[in-house]
Amino acid sequence: MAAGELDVRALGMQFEGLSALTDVSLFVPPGEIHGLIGPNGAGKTTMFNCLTGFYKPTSGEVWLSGERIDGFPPHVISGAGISRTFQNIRLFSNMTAIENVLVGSHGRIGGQTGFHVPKRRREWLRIKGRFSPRHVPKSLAAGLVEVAGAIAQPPTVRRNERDATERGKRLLKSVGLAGRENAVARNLPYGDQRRLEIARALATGPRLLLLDEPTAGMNPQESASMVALIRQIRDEFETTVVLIEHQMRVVMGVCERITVLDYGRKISEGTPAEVQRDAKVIEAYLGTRALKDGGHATP
Amino acid sequence: MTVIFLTTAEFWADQFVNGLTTGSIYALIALGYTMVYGVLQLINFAHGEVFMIGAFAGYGVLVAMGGDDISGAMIALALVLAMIAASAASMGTALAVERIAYRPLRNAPRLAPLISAIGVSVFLSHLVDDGFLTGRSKYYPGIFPDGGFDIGPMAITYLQMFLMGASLAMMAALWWVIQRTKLGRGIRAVAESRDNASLMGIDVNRAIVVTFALGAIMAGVAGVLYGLYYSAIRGSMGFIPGVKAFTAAVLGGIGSVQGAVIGGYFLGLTETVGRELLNEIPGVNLPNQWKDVVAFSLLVLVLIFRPTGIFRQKEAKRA
Repeated sequence: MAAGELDVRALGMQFEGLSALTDVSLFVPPGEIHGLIGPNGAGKTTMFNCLTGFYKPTSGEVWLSGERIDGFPPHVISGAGISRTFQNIRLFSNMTAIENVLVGSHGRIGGQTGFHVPKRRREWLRIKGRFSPRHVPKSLAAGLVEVAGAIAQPPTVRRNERDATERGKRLLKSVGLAGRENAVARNLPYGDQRRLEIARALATGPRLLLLDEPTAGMNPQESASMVALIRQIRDEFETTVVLIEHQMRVVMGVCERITVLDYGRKISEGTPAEVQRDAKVIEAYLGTRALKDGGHATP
Repeated sequence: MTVIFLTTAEFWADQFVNGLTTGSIYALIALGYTMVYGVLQLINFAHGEVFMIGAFAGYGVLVAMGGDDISGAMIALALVLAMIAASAASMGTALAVERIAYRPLRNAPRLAPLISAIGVSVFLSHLVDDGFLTGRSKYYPGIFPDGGFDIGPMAITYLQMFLMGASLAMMAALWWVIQRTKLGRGIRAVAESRDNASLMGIDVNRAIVVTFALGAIMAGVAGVLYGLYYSAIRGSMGFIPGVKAFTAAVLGGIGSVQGAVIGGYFLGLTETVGRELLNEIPGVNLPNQWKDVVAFSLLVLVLIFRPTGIFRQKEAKRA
């Protein structure tokens, strides 16, 4: 199994009788830029929430790089290599750019002062289990060591922090935010906030990057530079990318393959050209013009 | 009409020092309220009892090391050990309370954990008072050397100096941990958005536990300082300082770390100096207890007119 391979098998998500996703399967080979499109309410964002562990899928399986990851809490899945951005940007708005990125790299900063995040599902399985008094002394000791480490700052901790900061600066440079390290996130211009969110997602060391409408609210020039950035990221960080997008110009331009959802079901899959010709897709979008003109596809 | 102060500059200087001293204890305790509120939006009403447990643990160490007979260099060692033991005991209490009384109610309606908190608070204070002490107070050994020095009109005792110095050092250390370490970054991230922090790979439960632990360390040290300063300790001792510290946290804008510190000193000064100012009115002679009236009037006024705190920023900066 190659790193970054996403294999979603018959995923279902029900909310009290309402089926948000039904039997959706999806295979994305490593390094592919894959588009997830569909009318509003088709289940695209629900899909992202299931992949990141924010929702627990009610049926089906999610495999990443040959490991089954569904059913685990978000911080474990993050450690397993999935990271995302949001349609409405969700930065830590009171923190600086570099701090946002450092939060992203939380699970990767070694040393004693971290909240321990299992890198892999296996490890999680090992430490998981219901609360038992037997674990209290051990976890208490771990907590003490953590707090003590944070206060005493032994050399390893300081070195790790320095390395993480260096890495964070390089990441910010990669997304075009060099020199903005100490700007408070909420004061950054909109486009820069999007870039910062991507940098923060990359800081978790993802093998699969989920982008939820990365060009929302952008003009054509900004969209074009975002498309270039997405390609650059895929090449530079060797991640698989799945993106939700409404701007067809972006989808058709950057995605190698596309999956179309409608009412929580997969209705089509293929290259942009194939999907564009698919009668079911055209029907789902009603406004067939939208696809052909490369305009905004939301009905 | 001119206001005639019947009292001297030295008197007001003394009140100022007293205010700063109590204020630093309030500030230390207030930090625990505000940080827990920052990550959980929960008022941890058992925090006063966490402080009380710390005071008793420190007392235990001092007594075990010889009580009133501790002298010389042993005093410094005894104080350090007492504060370490107090922090550890407070931390243990806070973590147990979090695990038993708050975590199971994490997703319950907001009133539930609040009631649970009050229950724990009553339980702990009565456990100590009725279970172990049967109504008697314990008295901290008076190991601190008497005397002090003057700064202008202010006479500061060594004990007051130590209190202020120790609390400032604790607060500086806490600020540094929150602002400059990975641990603190995790806490701040959870305070801004629990969901988002979790997606970034942060174990939210762990961050919450660490927040309780840090707040409890502050409260434990505050417990020892309180014991040294006021001497008498008992199971119910946590209530008034607890509510005062909560007031301080609200004054500064609950959820804000700087606010809690500023609020603590502000409250300490206001209640001490405020009562004396009222006493300046001819015919008024208020006993010491009136400082509580001043403090809680302040709380009510702030809640009515400035519910986000008197030092309200545009957006209260969270823990």
